Amino acid sequence: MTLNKQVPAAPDDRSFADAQAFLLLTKRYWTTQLTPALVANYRAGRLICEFEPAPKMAAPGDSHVKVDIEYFEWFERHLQRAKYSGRYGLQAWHERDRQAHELMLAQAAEQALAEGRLELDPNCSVPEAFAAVDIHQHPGGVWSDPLAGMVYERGARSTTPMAGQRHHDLHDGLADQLASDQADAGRIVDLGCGFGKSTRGVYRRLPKAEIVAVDVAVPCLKLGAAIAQSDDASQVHWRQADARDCGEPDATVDIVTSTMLLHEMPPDDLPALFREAFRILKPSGTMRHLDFLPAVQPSADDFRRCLHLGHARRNNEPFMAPLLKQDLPRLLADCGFVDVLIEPFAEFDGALNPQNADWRFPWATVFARKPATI
Amino acid sequence: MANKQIADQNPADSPAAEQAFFADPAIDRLLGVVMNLATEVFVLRERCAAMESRLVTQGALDADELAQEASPIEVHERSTERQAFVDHLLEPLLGTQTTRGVAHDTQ
Repeated sequence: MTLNKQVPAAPDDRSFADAQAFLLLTKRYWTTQLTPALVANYRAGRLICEFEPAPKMAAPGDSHVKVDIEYFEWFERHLQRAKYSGRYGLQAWHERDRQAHELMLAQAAEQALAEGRLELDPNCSVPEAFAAVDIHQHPGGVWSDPLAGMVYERGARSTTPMAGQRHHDLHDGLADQLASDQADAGRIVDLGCGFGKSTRGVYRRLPKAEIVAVDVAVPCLKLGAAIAQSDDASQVHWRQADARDCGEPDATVDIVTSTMLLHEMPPDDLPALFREAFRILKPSGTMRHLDFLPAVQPSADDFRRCLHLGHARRNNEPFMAPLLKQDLPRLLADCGFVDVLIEPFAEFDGALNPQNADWRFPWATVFARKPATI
Repeated sequence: MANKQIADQNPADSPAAEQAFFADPAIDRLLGVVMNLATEVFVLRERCAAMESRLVTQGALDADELAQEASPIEVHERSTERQAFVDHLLEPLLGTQTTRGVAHDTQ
């Protein structure tokens, strides 16, 4: 990997943190000022949404609104780009202390491997479709550089711009739902766990459960293992595997979950993912995925759909749009699941108020149950 | 394409053209420069504030005095530098060349 040679020299910690704070403040302005301006224009009929040949916001005959759209789209793309790339980007800042970071990760991984909490598979490769694009503008993706997990972890603290220091709430909210599904779950599998942000919510909320956290990205798994180690969460097992072939025995798992996995998989892979979940679940076992589905939101309309599809393009998310075309209830039924429920998910209080004109991800959960008898 | 081949591709060797959103893509690039400048200004302001705070704490600086409007003497001493800053900032507005060469084709 030759990524590093183009990473600029990093600033000191204060300058880095201040620059990132500036970007986040700008993102909040974009979220709470620029987005509502577009919403108002849409509601007033000055902005229209076109979907063919590609999703596009337009303002025929209104040059003022046209400029609103241009600025909105530019900032969406470039605030994320600046978060990761450039002098004050996450990449450069982590690069500065590469040696120390790699040493920490290596030591944590060595201990986790020795204790059987981390399982790496040299034959497990990153799916080509996932590797072909730097998803969410993370240079090199979350898998190719040893520090990619650390870069991703830092970046994920500001994924929900309005959350501030409470950026864990989203994941804790999902963990609450899992606990509500099965408070006495003995074994939980978190597919596409990344560096374990959601996994952490699960092992904190359900401390008695054994948890298997599965991902193809070794840098993320190593960081997840290091964080769990610092949390004394020895009940978590980190495994390098493809979510479609996760290595669990048949009918041994109470809960299968994932966060932001469905939209990062080619749609053709989804049936295999659901079949794998069905295979490993015990009878009456439950599955709950947290992802983005604008159609089930209370505020669902052409504008929000267009916004989401545009985000997919502007943020390097190649499978976000195809996911919206999937008939998930049918896919799940075809796999044998019952009690399918797809509903919006509130990442903070009031998030689902249809009058909310701020930008937000269309968070939703996909729930299903394996029948008690087959 | 194999994963390793994808990973070994250095974006700097063959970067794709950045997405453009404005009717004139020059604005896209210019706005990038403006935002980089704004980031530097933010960083500088925060560092100045941190320095002032420490200097005040150490008794080396009177915060109230610093907040006063600059005295005529101070303004005079800084006048050359202040004007140079503005001249440099706005010089591109003239749109004229700084070396002898082929003029812009206005046709």
